[in-house]
Amino acid sequence: MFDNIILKKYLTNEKRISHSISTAMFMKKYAIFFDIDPEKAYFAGLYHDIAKEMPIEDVIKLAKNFKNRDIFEIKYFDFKVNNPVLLHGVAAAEILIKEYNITDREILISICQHTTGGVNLPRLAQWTYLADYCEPLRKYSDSMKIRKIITKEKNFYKAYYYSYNYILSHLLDKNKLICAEAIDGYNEALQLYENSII
Amino acid sequence: MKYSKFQLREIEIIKREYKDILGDDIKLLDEEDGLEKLSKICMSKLKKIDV
Repeated sequence: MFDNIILKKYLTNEKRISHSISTAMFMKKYAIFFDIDPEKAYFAGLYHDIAKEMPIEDVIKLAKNFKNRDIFEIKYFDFKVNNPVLLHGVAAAEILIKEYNITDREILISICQHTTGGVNLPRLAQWTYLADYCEPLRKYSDSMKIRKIITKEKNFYKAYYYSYNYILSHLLDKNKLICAEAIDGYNEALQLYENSII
Repeated sequence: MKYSKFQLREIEIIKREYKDILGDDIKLLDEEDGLEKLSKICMSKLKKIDV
C-alpha cells in the first residue's frame, strides 16, 4: 500500500522528518500503557505533519476538499482558513485519503485535530495531540515535564491537560490568536484530569 | 550525507529512546545515511498494518 517515499515526497526539512519519526516511535512505545493501538499510533505520528511544508493555498484547497467529504465536522473552519497553519492536519488527512486510500476514522481525526485538540476526541487523537508536543526531540522545558508525566507517571490525562495548559499559555504569552476549539479542548481536558484523580 | 552537530544529537536521542523498537536496525543510524535508511524502515514497517 505504501511506497517508501511518502515522507520525502512531502517533507524536505530534516528536522521535521526526524520529528515525525520520533513522534511515531514515541507514540508506539507508550501506546500500550494507555490502551491505544500501537500501529495506528505509529502511523498517526509518522504522517501528522506531511502537509506542513506546503504552500498555504494548497493547504486550504486540500482542507476544503476534506471538509466537503463530510466524514466528520471540521469545527471553526472559517477561523482556521484565516489562520491556515491550523489546517495542515486537515490537509494531511486529505492527502492520505486521496493518495493512499486511508479510511480509518480514528487516524483521520487524529491527524486533523493534532493542531488544536478538541472535544470528544478518540484516545488516539488525544495521544497524537500531546505526543506531538512532548516527543523526545522537543526541547522546551514544558515538553520535558509532560514527557516525564507520560514516561514515569504513566498519567495520560494529567499529560493531556498540561499539554493544553502549556500550549495555550505559550500562545497567550506571544499575543497569538487562539482557536476556540483549543479552549474547548482545554476545558474538557481539565475535567478529564480532575475526574481521573477523584 | 554528513550530519550536522544538531542532527547527530537528534540521532543519539533516537538511539537512546527507541533502542527497544529499533532492535538491530539501530546499527543503521551509525552509518552516513542512517537517518535516510531509518525513515525507509519506518515506512516499510507500515506495510504490516491494515489502515
